[in-house]
Amino acid sequence: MILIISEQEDYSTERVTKWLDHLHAKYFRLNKEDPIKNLEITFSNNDFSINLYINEEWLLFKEIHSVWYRRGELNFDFDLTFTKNATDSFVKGVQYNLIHEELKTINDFMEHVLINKPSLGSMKWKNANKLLSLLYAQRAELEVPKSIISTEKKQLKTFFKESKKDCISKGVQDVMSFVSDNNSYSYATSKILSKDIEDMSETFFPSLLQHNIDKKYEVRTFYLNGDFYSMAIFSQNDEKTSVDYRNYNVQKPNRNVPYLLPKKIEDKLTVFMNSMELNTGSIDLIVTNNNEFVFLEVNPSGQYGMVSIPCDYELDFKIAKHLISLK
Amino acid sequence: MKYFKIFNSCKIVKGASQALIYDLDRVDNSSPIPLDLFEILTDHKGKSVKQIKSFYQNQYDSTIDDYFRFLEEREFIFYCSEIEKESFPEREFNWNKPNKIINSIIDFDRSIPISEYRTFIVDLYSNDCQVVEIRSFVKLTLDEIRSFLKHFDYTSILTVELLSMFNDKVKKSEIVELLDEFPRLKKISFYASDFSETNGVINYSTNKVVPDLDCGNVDPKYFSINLDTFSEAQKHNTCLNCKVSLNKVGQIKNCPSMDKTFGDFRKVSIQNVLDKNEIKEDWKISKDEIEICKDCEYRYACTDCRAFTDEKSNKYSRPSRCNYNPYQGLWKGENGYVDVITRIK
Ligand code: SF4
Ligand code: SF4
Repeated sequence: MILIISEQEDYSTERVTKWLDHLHAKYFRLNKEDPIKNLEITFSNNDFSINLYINEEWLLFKEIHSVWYRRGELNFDFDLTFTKNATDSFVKGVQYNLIHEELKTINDFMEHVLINKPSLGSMKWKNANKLLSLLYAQRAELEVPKSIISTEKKQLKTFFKESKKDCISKGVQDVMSFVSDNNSYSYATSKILSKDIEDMSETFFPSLLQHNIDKKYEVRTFYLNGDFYSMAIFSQNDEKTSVDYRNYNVQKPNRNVPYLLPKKIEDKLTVFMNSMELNTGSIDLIVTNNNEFVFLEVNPSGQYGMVSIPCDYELDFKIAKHLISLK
Repeated sequence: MKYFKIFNSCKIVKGASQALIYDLDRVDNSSPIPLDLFEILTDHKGKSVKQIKSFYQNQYDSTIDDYFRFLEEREFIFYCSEIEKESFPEREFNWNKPNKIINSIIDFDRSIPISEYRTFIVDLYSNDCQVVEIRSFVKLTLDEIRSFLKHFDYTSILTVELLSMFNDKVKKSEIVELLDEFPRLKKISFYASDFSETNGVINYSTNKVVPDLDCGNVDPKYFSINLDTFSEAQKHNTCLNCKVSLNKVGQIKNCPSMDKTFGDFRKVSIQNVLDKNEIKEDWKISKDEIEICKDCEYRYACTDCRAFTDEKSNKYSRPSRCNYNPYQGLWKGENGYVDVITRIK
C-alpha cells in the first residue's frame, strides 16, 4: 500500500489518486485535516508495529510499502485535558509542556519510520530552508544571486550601491501570502528602490536583499527522481510581472512553454538535489540575457501542475507510476 | 543571428482559405492569418527574418516586415540565439485522463419521478463524472430543482448546469438563494421566458427551445479556444468523448439526441454499459476525419455534433447546423456566402 500524506484541498493529490485508482493500486490518503484519534505502538520479540486510527479506519504501518510525502503533517487529536487537581496555572503549564514533549517524541518516531520507507518527497523537508538551499546550490557550482541578510540600513545601502541596478527583497522563509483587512500581503518578490532603503529606520528585522538579475526568462523545472521537466516563463514583456511571475497578471498571462535545460545545468542540479537529499521538488532558475543560469530556490512540494499542464508532461500519471514502482 | 520561435502555446491551424492562430494562453488574442504567413511560420520555422527574406529573393521584404511586426506585437513569437535553438521542444498534445466519464446530460419531462435519479447520479459520480447538465422539457418548480440538486450532495461532481422551461412562479431571488445553497450549481437557464436577461450564470431567454432538438448549433460564440479542448480535439470528439447521458424516458445514451440506446438506467449500471464499449463508438472520431471540417481552421475549437449531420448514413458527415464555408472563409449572411453543400453538389 502507498501512504500519501497531503492536505484535503490539494488538487495534485486528487489527480494522482485518480490515476492510482485507474492503475488499480492500493493507497491510503492521510490529510493533515484528518485527526488521528487513536494509536498503537508495540515492541515485541525483535519486532515493532505502529497502527493509527483515522477516519474510522486503521492504518497499519506494516502494510505501507512506499510513501508519497506531498505536504502537511500528522495531526494527533487526543484528549489533552489535565488532571483534575491541576488548578495552579504553573502546574498546568508544566503538564502542557510535558504532554507536548511526549507527543513530539511519538511524532518524531513515526516520521523517522516513514522517512526510512521508499518514498517520494520527504517529511524531513516539511519546511524548506531557503538559505540552506542557496548554500548547497553554491556548493554544486550553480550560480546564485548576490544576497545579503542584514539588520542594518548602512549595510543594505552599500550592498544596494554595488548592484548598480536595483535590488529585490524576499522573505527569508518560504514564500507565502496572506490577506488581512482586505489588503493582500505577499512575500513574493518585489522590487526595492533606493528610496525604499532611505525610508527604513537604522536597524530592523533581518531582511533579505538580492541583486536583481537581468533576465531573459525564468525556468521552473520539476525534478522527479532524476528527471527534469522544465518550462520557460516569459514574463518580462509586461511591467507588472517582470519581477516575479507570482504577481500574476490576470489580463495577460505569461507565456509558459516547454523547455530543455542544458545537460551541464541538469548535472549540477542533480548534484544539488542529491546533497539536499531531495528526490523531488520544483526548482526556479533565471536565464540572463547572457545565457547564464542563476539558481533561485527549490520548493520540495511545489505546485507542479503549473508546469505539467502547459507543457503536457502528464506529471500526475508519471508520479502515480513512480509511486507504484517504488520498492 | 536571431531565430524566431512561435510560443508553444500558440498553435496555427490551417484551413482551406486562411489559418487561425489559437492563442491557448490568451484566448482573445487568437487571430486568423493569411495562408502565406502560415507558410512562413511552418515551412521556415526557426529561421531568421533575414534568411526568410532571402528565400523569397528579397521580393517581399516589406510584407515580411509587416508580418513580423504583427507577430511581435501580438506576442506570438520570440527570438532566440543559436545556442538556444534546441532548448524549446515542441509541446505534445496528448489527452489522457483517468476519468471514465467526464460529463453527462440528463433530460427530464416528469415521466420518471425525480427521486429515482439519485442512483444514476451516484453511478455517474463513482465513474468520476465532473459535469452534469440537467435539461427539463417542463416548467420545473423550485421544489423539483431542489430535489434534483440534493442528489449531488456528497458526490465529487464539480459542476451542475440546469436548463428549464421558464416558470413564472420561480422568483429570481429564489434562484440566487439556490446558487448559494448549492455551490455546484454554476449555471441556470430558462427558455420560453417572458423576458430576456443574461449574466452568464442566471439566464432568461424568450426563445422556444426543445432541449434535445435544439442542440449542436455551430456559432463562433460556442467555440472554445483552450488547451483542454484543443488537446482533446486532436484525437477525440469533444462533445461525445467520455459522455454518458439519459434521455427523458431514462434510456442510457451517449447523447440524448442520438438514436442508439443502451438500456434503462434503472436496470443497467453505467459500468455495464461502459464495459461493452458500444457507447464509445463515436468518442474517438476527431474533426480531422470529418468531411469539410477537416479543411476548416476552427476545427479544434468547434463542437462536432454527431446527432445532426448532413448525411445520416455517413459516419464522417459534417454537422448540419454549420453556417460556415471554410473554402470561402465566409459565414452565412456575409457577402457572397454560398452553402458548402450546394457548392459541392
Ligand atoms: S452530439 Fe450534438 S446533439 Fe448531442 S450533445 Fe453533442 S451537440 Fe448536442
Ligand atoms: S462545423 Fe463548420 S465551423 Fe465547425 S469545424 Fe466544421 S466547418 Fe468549421
